[in-house]
Amino acid sequence: MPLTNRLYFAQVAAGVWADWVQVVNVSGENARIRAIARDWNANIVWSSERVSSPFQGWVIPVEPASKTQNLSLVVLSDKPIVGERHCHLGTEVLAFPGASPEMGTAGYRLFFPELVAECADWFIIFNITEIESKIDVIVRDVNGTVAKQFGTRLKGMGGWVFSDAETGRVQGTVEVISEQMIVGERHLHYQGTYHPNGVAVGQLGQVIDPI
Amino acid sequence: MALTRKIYFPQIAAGNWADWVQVVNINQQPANVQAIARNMQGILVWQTSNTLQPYQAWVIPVDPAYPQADVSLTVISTLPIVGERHCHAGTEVLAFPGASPETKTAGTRLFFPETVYGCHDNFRFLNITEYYAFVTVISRDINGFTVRRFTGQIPPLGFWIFTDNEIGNVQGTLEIFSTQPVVGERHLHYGNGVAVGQLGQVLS
Repeated sequence: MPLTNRLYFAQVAAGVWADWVQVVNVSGENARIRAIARDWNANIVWSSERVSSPFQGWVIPVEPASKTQNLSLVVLSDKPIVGERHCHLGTEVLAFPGASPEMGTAGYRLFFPELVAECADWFIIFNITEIESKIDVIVRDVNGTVAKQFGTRLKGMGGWVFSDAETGRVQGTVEVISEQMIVGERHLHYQGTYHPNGVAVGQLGQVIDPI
Repeated sequence: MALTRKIYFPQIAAGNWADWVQVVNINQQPANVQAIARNMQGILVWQTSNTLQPYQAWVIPVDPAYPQADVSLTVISTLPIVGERHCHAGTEVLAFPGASPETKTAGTRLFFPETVYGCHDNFRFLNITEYYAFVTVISRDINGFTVRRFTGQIPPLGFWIFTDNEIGNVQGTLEIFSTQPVVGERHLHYGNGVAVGQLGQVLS
């Protein structure tokens, strides 16, 4: 049963990006909802809460807190909720549903079916547990040959970013394996000969555990 | 268990939209992968197949092969796969993962947390079963009040489309109930070169 009362957003963006995050109470009763923003070292920097009526939407006013630094956002509710995030800059929009284990969008092994050599690829991994996690990343080309392998240790409720500098500008795929449950975002920013500027695509890592 | 051998894409777009669909064999053995395109009525109109090595990716050549009309695409594999679709026109991109019941992106109750008054919202639903699906749609405003309610019927493996005309151009949310599992896409067009694609979130 995919209903969840806890949603994770790996990023609320700093700087010139404008973030819109909305959650909806999808139950037939009032829901008490709390939003908690953390920096990528897992320190709580902002929180807010409210009561939402059945099927009422709440645009979470987190953005002033993220003016100078990227944050993660966890939304907790005493009733089931769904949520969505749009991160805007001009014609570029990165769109993500709120992620959770119940919705099948948080797990131990995430797969991103595309990595584009000539574009800017950027990944955010968010450890949604309180326990430090060892994380391994495998970059493959389109034929399945391993091109790069690297990793890190990510503290509980912390965030980690890697990009083309680490993945090596490969045309291929990315797999992320973690000891603890994580959520992953890919931000694809078009550039180069075949990809017009002003385009971005956001995707959650697809959960493929267990194997 | 999130692994799946069958993924669904409710749309491969006709006209000036350029579709790119890629699937990846996420196993250590070769996989036989078949791609099947169907029209709105669920009738098979195109198909192809390929053998993929472990972690090899395949861009399915459905867009140039069937430009006549919108179709759906079902990808069936002998071993688990994942997939992704990007649908392009200028700076507008609609991006979707391949959907399936196993990855919790196909079900009998779907929810879309946003509809935007003043933008163009376009929804499509693919019935992934061999039975007729009877679908009820509830459009609510941002405070949760029901604004519109209507129904539709989707043929086996066929799809159904509706837009702002039906939902009432509301700032709010959308929920659908279906008698059979369906996959749902929302296409949000801002009207100024920006588009967002989202799968319906399964609540069943």
